[in-house]
Amino acid sequence: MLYGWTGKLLRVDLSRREVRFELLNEEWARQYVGGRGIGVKYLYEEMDPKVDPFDPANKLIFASGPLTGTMASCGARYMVVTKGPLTGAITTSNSGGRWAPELKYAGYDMIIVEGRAERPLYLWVFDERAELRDAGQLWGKGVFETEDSIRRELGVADCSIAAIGPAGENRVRFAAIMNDKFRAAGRSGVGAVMGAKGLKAIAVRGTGAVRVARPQAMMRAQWAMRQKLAAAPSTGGMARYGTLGLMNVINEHGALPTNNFQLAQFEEAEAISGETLAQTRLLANKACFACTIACGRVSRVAEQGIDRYVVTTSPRNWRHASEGPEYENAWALGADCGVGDLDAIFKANVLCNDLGMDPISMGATLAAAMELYEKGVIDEAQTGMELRFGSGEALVSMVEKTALRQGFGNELAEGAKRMTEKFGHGELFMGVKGQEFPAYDPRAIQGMGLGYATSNRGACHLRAYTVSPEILGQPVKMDPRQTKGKAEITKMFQDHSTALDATGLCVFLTFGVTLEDIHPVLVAATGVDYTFEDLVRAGERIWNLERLWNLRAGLTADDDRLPRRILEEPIPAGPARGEVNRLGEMLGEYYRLRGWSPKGEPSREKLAELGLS
Amino acid sequence: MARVRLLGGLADVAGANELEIAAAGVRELITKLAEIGGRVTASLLYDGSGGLKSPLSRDLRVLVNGRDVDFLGGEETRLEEKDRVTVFVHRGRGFPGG
Repeated sequence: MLYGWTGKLLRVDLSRREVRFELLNEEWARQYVGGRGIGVKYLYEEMDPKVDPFDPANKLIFASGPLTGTMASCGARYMVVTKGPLTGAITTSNSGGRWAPELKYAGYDMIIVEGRAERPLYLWVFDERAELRDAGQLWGKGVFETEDSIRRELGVADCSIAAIGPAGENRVRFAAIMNDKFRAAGRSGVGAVMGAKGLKAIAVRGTGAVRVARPQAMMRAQWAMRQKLAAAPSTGGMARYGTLGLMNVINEHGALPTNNFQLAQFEEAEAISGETLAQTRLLANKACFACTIACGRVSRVAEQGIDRYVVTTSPRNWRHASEGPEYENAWALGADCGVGDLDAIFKANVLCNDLGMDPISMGATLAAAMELYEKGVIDEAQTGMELRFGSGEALVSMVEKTALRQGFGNELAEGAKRMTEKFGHGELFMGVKGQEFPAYDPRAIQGMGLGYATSNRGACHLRAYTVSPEILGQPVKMDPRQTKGKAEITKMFQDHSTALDATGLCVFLTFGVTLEDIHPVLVAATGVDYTFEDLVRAGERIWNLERLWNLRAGLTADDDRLPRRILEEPIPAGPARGEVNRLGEMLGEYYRLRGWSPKGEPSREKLAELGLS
Repeated sequence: MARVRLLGGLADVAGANELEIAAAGVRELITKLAEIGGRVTASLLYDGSGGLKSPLSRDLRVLVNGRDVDFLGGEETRLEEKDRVTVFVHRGRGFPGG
């Protein structure tokens, strides 16, 4: 008998309009734990990595972990695993809320979606019942209205729904899958894959429970972790300022990318900071299932109660409250576009949620377009309006046009890499493997450059958050300007964060606890006597399997590169003036520590060691 | 006079997010900051009882012109006229992403 895992999955064939139950591969569950791990294993075994991301043969996997839906703190997560349309690489995109716990209570660890529907459909899962239903009437609707409509149709008010908006339907390459309206599997375009399949939503309600192997040990381990978490003042800071508390911290270090990474400090950072948001419009915190941190923000959309940014789609003229923005969103839609107006950022963020798009890629792609515009590469005849850094009007308007692929939004919908290359200036794409950078300038924080370059899903801050040692001093203090030791800590962070992603817990737990604190909770829940080293090794195994998948898809070491601006154009002003990223000093050592060849390919010995031969 | 920027909770308890403090070095600046902000501020700046003779908190981050003093002269870092000093507290015990 399995504990922690339910032991079952749903396989959905949209082409045949069939849903069937399968037993979970128990051996894979133990080796790859769950969530990101088991999702990657199924994708690796079942799919040709060379297929087009929008081909019906691409699979879309929703995978929870063995701690999802248990009493473990922050056990709310699931991972969407597929081939990313933004990158052509494997992608693993994570979300919280309460959708994944409902899936577990309905009796399933995973859903594997295959094929393509002839007509738009949505999936309704209620315990042992699972059926595909017509979604024609929902097609074209935003996420918020879609959720409300499905609840009304089903007559089940407390079901949880993961859905796409118009951006996913229109195959915007950075479309997100949203659940519980405001939680997002945001990056790499997983929503566009769902849209290409003609799947509008998955509604779930479960009335069962998750069995744990050793309840008393689970209680003890969880309580120890809970106490540690509660005692960590940084989690208190998260409640007050959310992730947006980082805005001033990163700006003060001169590491806040501004105007498409032309600058590394934003003059208006204070105006869009967590401190300002808390003082002027924060109404309440919001937490995901089982979360004891509550980093979510519920705030007034417009500070004076007047929405100055009018759009044509729903929601039109918002005067009430909504969720967000997080640090990454406020940076991408704010500093990276030179926008210091929190009203505009908030409106753009709400639109991204409702239309179903990743705000990081949205803002970063618009920032690249703004640079093209200001350099005279594109003009108003092409864009339909002035695209100058700092324009809140351009920001809000282009978010809507992108989701709908209207006018110049159709170019932005392709992401910054394709868009800049189309206009002959691919060097203005700021990202890796086709995915736009998040909110830390890797010239000012050397380790982040290595983390971005080697992230399997393209540029990402969550795979190896070296901001922690380089800026915040945890778990050790490292000089952000130096490269020494960065390869080692990047590999360690990648392996640990991957293992964490496999458990079904939230990465923000690690503001207060480490993987060592989580390990006994996992053992008690599953009854599998993993050692701590086993758990870290599982993370390394998953990381290497993702790498193998990418190599089979045609990616090479050439894809572990940073843009020329980051390597050759020094930061022009501020505390980190004169700095470039010195990736060359770190990458070779990183490959060696990984047991990879200079071409970035895992050695036979490493594969054997990880059971991947 | 150094321009001092306080971030996050430290600004809340000190009652201001920007101050000007005359100090020859970082240690003196922190001592004066604790005196200005009172007991609660001192408890954030120092480990142990919060008394001014306690060592600086290991969770305290002090930047001079955007550079962490750990990579300058630590508590002994000298301050020049119009230096910009940033002070914030981060007490995370894990390491996000890991």
